[in-house]
Amino acid sequence: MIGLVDCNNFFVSCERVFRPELRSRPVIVLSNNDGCVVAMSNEAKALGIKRGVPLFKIRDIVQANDIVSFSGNHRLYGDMSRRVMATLNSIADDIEISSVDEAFISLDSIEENLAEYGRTLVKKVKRDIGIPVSVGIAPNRTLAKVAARFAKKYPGYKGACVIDTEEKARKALSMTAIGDVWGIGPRIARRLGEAGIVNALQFAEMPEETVTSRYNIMLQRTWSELNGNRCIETDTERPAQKTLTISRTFATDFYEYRDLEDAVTRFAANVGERLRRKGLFCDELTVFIATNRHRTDHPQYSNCAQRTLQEATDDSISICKEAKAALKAIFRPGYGYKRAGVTATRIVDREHLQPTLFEDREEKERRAKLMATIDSINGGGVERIHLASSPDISSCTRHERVSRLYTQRMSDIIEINCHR
Amino acid sequence: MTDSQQNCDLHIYKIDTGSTLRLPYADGGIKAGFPSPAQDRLNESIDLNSEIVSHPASTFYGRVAGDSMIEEGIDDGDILVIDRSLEPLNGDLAVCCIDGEFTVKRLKVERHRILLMPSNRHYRPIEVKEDDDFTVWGIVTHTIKKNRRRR
Repeated sequence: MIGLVDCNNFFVSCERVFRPELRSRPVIVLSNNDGCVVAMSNEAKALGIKRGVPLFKIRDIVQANDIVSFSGNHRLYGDMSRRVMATLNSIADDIEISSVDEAFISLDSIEENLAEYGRTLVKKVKRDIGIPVSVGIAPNRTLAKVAARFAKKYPGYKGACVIDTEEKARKALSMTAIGDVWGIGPRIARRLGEAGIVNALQFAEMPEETVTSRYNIMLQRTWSELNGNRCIETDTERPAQKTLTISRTFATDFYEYRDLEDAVTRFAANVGERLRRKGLFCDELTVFIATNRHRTDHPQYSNCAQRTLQEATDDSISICKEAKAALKAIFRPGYGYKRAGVTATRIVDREHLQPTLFEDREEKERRAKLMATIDSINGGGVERIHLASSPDISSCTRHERVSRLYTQRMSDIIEINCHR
Repeated sequence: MTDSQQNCDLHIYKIDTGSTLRLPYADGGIKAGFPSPAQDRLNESIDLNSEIVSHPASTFYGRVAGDSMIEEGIDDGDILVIDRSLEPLNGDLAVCCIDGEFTVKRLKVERHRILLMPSNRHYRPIEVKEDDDFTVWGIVTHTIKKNRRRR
């Protein structure tokens, strides 16, 4: 059996650990530039706030209900995630972290009652770290995901739901919308919906021939897992990341080419750094810029340009150079730019790297060394040095309500009131 | 160890305050000659983190504001090392959340109530009843204080 441990409203829960007075208040966490809601507490969900909605659209609800909003404090969330995973690691033998707030654990060696075991995990993480989690337990990952949704939704499960019989699986699947199944994106969900497949049980009951003839291998596996088989062994079997985007909404509109170039080269340098951290290379790059689409009284313009690199690379200098060239091609003066980004496409790992005919080995090694040096100096998430062409743009992002670094900075630790 | 060494009651240890600091090991090549017998133990120095923090994942820090615990030596500005993974026991020094606020007190567990005991005669115990908004946030394992009275 496989378990999925999923943190409930993770970002909000992180904030609440250090702000106990927010325990039953509606709380939302906003995206990087306070543009959109990325996480909300159950109380905020009950007020009709949905993930992804732009803040300006819900300002009235936020004010009327005294909703507490935070800018994402991702360094804090990262540290809390590390703590949750370390705690899971100390109990379960085999854990596989699939995202900041989620991990699969292998339960093959567990002999005790699985629901009890799941509840022990829930209690342990809640007590040790303060983060509420839900546990879904099933024969495979896809069903474990379904089970975790139930554990989260219905308090009766006390945090852990086990799907270990066909009957339970059928019941759960009949109550799960097709789009809520792991691995079924909105596009496929729509396609299935048009074919009359609305819930997961209907999909699981499709004849195998229909599934194999109509759908791709990933969807076939999902189908097979919904029917109780174990097909997806690790997350790495999912296709590797195909694109990587770094983009921002600026605090103020940028009219000058110089400002936009600063931002874009900075994004490009970050793309390079991320690629290096993951051991990946890209050989295509897209730069996009856009004006503020909500300011309909201002002239609107948005565009993107693609550049093919000479060869697949993870070198920030080459990536910055191409990004600048792309930006030059699309920049039009006279507009107030609100948003820009750099996307790396055609990403490959080292094994799939094609050697080129005219490569300058010496220069390449020199660059690789330089990048490694920059990365090691900038280790630990603190930026100490960067390319001169990619200056610090933190000044152009907005952080209105960032919470403190309670676990990472001594001056930010919680205060204990001894006046009573 | 000789007797004279055993009688010496002040030991000075080398302290490694940055526990993530990697010390170079035999860097700069191997030289001819008799190697230092201490070479194998280059990385051995006291790491306060590992001495004080037994459960790093569940350990948090908090700073004291106020004087309600001064009689047991917990002063304004002291830093508390708080371990959330420990089961609260009667008599533990605990960081508690009461009415949405953090405070630190000694726990006195009675049959139908818990008393939060201050260590300052000018303060009264706080009585916690069943329906109160109260949780034990973590157990204080150590107090860190600055003893040198200058900035």
